[in-house]
Amino acid sequence: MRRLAAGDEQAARLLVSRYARPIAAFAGGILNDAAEGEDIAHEAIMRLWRGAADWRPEGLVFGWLRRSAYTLAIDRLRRTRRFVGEGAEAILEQTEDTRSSPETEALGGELGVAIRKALARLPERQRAAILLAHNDGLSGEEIAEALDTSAEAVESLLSRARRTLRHTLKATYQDVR
Amino acid sequence: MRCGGGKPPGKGAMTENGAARMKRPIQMAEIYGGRISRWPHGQLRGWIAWLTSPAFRQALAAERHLDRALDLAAPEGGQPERFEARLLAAIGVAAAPERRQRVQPFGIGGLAVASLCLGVMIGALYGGEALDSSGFAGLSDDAWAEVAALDGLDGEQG
Repeated sequence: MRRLAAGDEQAARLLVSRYARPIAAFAGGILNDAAEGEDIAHEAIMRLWRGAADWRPEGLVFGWLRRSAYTLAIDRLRRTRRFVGEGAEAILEQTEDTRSSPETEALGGELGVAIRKALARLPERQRAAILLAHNDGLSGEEIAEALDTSAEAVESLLSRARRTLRHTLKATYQDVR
Repeated sequence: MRCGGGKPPGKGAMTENGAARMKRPIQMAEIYGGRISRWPHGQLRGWIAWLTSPAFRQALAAERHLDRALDLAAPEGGQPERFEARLLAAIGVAAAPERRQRVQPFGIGGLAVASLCLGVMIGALYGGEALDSSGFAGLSDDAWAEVAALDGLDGEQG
């Protein structure tokens, strides 16, 4: 961070190459939109970069970025909902329209669409927890840090999220318990 | 977080006590999914003894179906390379130019050997269900092999 604050180009490149994509994927998962996820990651990394000189080594950079991206993504989700005025269902319908492309079919087909829809219907904290656990392989403590909660609460979030997903997918796919 | 799995299950009918101890590893599968190499590493050692339990294996197999579905859930779109370049530009750093590698006169043989080595390295690093054993220090070779084999059994019905 000191090197970043001093304008070290290599440090900036390292920051971007190491964290930009995972943070964008995480935020994109919460918002169910990869491009929006990139916007969030952009903002989070810019905030970190601007504040590099004041950085206090109280935690890991990745943890800070995840927390920041989570807050920004939730803010954006809530603003969008207010704007749309019809809650999550409206957002879901919007995103569903963009999913039925040939590319979608190639990337995972029907099951991919079904799981994205099911994820989009989860409460935000459950969705964030399962993305961090499944995609990033974070421990309960790390997820707790990102979501500003306890490890026990994270286990509960994950358990409820997986139960809901199983239940939602079960109706369509017999092999998903 | 809690850790430790108690005594491993014995053969024959499971006692009430054994069933109670079994709850936690099954609960772990329901929380972290069926691929135990993805469980928080500190948690795994305690549960390794349960790998032979049919009930535990059944729970893992069931959770792996959902894991496979979740693998397909990445949102579409986005342009990672452009995104990184845009971000670097915003920070005031130019994106690294594409490096063009000229084939040096080592001959086809040298190139083939280099490609093979690179392929093996990439495969080891990014291979589908490649497992990183570094976080499992302390597990015996047998236990590690059991974890790797079990996680590879995506088609298992339990």
